[in-house]
Amino acid sequence: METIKNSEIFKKFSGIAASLKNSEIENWKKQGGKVVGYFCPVIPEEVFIAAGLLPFRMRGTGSTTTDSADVYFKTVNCGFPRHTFNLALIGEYDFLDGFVANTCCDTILRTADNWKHAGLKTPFIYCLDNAHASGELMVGHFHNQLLKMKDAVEKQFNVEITEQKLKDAVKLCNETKLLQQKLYELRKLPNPPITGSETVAVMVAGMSMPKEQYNKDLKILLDELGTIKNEKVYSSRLMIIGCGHDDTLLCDIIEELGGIVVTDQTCFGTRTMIKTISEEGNDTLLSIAGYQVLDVPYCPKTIGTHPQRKQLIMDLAKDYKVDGIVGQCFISCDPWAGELYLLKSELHEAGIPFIWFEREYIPDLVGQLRTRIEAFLETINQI
Amino acid sequence: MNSDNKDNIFDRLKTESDEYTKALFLETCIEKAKNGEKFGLTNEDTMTEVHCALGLPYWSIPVFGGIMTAMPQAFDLIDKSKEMGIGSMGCTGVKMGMYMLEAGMIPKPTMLVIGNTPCDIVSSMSELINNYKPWADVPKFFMSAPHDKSEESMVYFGKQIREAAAFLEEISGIKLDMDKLRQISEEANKQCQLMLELQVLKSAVPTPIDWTWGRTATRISRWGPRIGDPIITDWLERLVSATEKRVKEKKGIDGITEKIRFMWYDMIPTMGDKLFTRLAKELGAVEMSDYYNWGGPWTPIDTSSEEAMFTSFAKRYLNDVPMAKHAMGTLQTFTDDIFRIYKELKCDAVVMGLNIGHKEQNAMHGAVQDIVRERGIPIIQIGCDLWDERYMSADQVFDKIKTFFEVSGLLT
Repeated sequence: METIKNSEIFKKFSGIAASLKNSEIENWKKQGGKVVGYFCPVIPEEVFIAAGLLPFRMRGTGSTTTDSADVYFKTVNCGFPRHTFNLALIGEYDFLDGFVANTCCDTILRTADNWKHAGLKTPFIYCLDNAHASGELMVGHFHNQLLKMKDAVEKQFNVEITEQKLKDAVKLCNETKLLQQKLYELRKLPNPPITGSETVAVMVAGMSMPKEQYNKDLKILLDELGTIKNEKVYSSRLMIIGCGHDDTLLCDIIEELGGIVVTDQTCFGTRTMIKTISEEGNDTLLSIAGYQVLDVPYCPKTIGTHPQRKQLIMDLAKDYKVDGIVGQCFISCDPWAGELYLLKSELHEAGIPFIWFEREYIPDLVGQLRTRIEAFLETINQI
Repeated sequence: MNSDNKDNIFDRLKTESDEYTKALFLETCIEKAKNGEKFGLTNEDTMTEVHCALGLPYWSIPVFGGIMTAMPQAFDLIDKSKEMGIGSMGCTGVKMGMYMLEAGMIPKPTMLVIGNTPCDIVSSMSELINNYKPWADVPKFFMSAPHDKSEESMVYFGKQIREAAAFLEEISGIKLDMDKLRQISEEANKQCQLMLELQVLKSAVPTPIDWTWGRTATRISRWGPRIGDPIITDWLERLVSATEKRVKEKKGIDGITEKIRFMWYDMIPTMGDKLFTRLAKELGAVEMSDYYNWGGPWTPIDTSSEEAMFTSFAKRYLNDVPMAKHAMGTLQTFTDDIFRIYKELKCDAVVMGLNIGHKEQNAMHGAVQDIVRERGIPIIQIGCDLWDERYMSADQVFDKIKTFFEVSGLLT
């Protein structure tokens, strides 16, 4: 295969990532399956899978306005939940049988309240309380919160989430993580067979369709990628860090300008798969809590863990031989704004070129972003 | 300000409270540092009774930021805090605290207790403090307050407060005397009860004292080093007694003919003195309640056991302090308090400051408006910057509120 663009599997993933509804969800629903939307990777999809539900990661794909959502949120609120909620208000999320928000930030935590107040017909609406620091006491708290959510899911959907079902779900999701790790390994090559934009599509698709099918498809894609001989020369290898990143906009700009995005520290990327959940022990929910609180404290809302996030970024930069890092922060995201402020001096000290900016979730001013990234790439290439 | 010409009790109370509130200011902290005394800094407010029982001076960095916005050099410092680039839409008061830290304006503490309450930008501040190089060797303790309000979550947070207390004991070398903590907590319970009594008295028509007394009562009895101090109980008793006298005499605020009673449902803005004074003088619109001028109710500290005491601290902070209660609570928690205060204080209208930095309030503005209006209660949401008058001036806010009163039929 000459390029991934010819791959039928990639076309499928790309199509899934570019819209909300897809044929996999339609088939799932036709067979009587139910779908639960969830906002943040701290909300463990394993619990929904163990309940026989299809977890769908919420996003604002395809949104062009927040006119309806602005009745509920002010424009000082982050565009990610606003656009996503707007889509719900105009019926684009009508396929959901459940919606789960969490306390990951001050705006997302209100989406559950607004979902109810707006009278959206989703039968199950829930808000999960996170831990906001990393430690054994916090694991205990998050475990309790997961137990409550599990009970609520069981009651709502009239199912029993057994220990064995949770173990099976963790195993399935770990398989996904391991396959995605292989995908990322390919990006360490001098001429990766997959671009940053293409990777975003593959990752987003993994949160938008049944895992069993995704894993099967991803295996085929990985085989296909093994046959690609990419001889394109890139001006620089970049990493993206920061908020959300469920769209290909930034990668598209960088890659149109001759660079390539080879890795990331975002919650649609490495945050979801860089480590697996322990399959040992007799309390899988506790293992999930431990994983979220202790193993992957990569959201800046988890206080006291900036050193771990910084170390992860430094390690990724080294492993993927990046020439520079692009930090993006959605306007109004206080946790990432603070994080990027700290990283600015730390990356400078480490000698890693770094640019960061605030942007709208769905930006109007693409030209401005392009100009800044172009200047950054030119600067890197002169070093 | 109220005054009673016969015995000047309010003047005396004011003079005394001015002395007590000095303890909250940066200058006092700098003084301690110069003298080489041990002290703690925090961006939390969850263990005030513990600090007092230890006799360990402590200050809150966000409070430093908030107070600084009222200083003559505020605009210059606000601009500098914005130039740091920590989020264009972050709360100005907290960003000011962050700037003061980075600019070396805050003395190095002996210990730090860092937390996540009540909002996102305070979490950002936590990371900034934790990674501030000049303070790298300062021992730190992290707290993670839950949003969930169940009993088990309160026990969980109470345990963290206990662990934080042990941390303070270890670093300061001061043993926490549980009997003293119990004594302070019981005295603090009396003080909270007195604040509630003051709130009840304020509900008289016309209201007997102006909003500044509620703010002062909160500052000296819920913040700083004198929580549980009998001197403060005495101050509150005299305030309650003097207020009761005014109620019996049917006296309203001196020089004001009360026409409208409104609640400012947010923290008091830096422009508050100017704005609320003008509203009262020109429109007869009196401010009845806000996040500082807040009478409770407060969860009594259960001193029957150590665990009960620490769980009560968690409840008092997370369920009673309005900023934490509302920012980390649900839409219903927020609107229930509006209805309660509106009724208890016989208000005519609700004014939400809707500070641009308060994301959690902005994210439910529409629902709050709907729910409150469904009950027939007039409400307006301003959308100001509480800490930077240049965003929306006191005159602009005044005009907005005046128009709202006119359109609502409250001002004819």
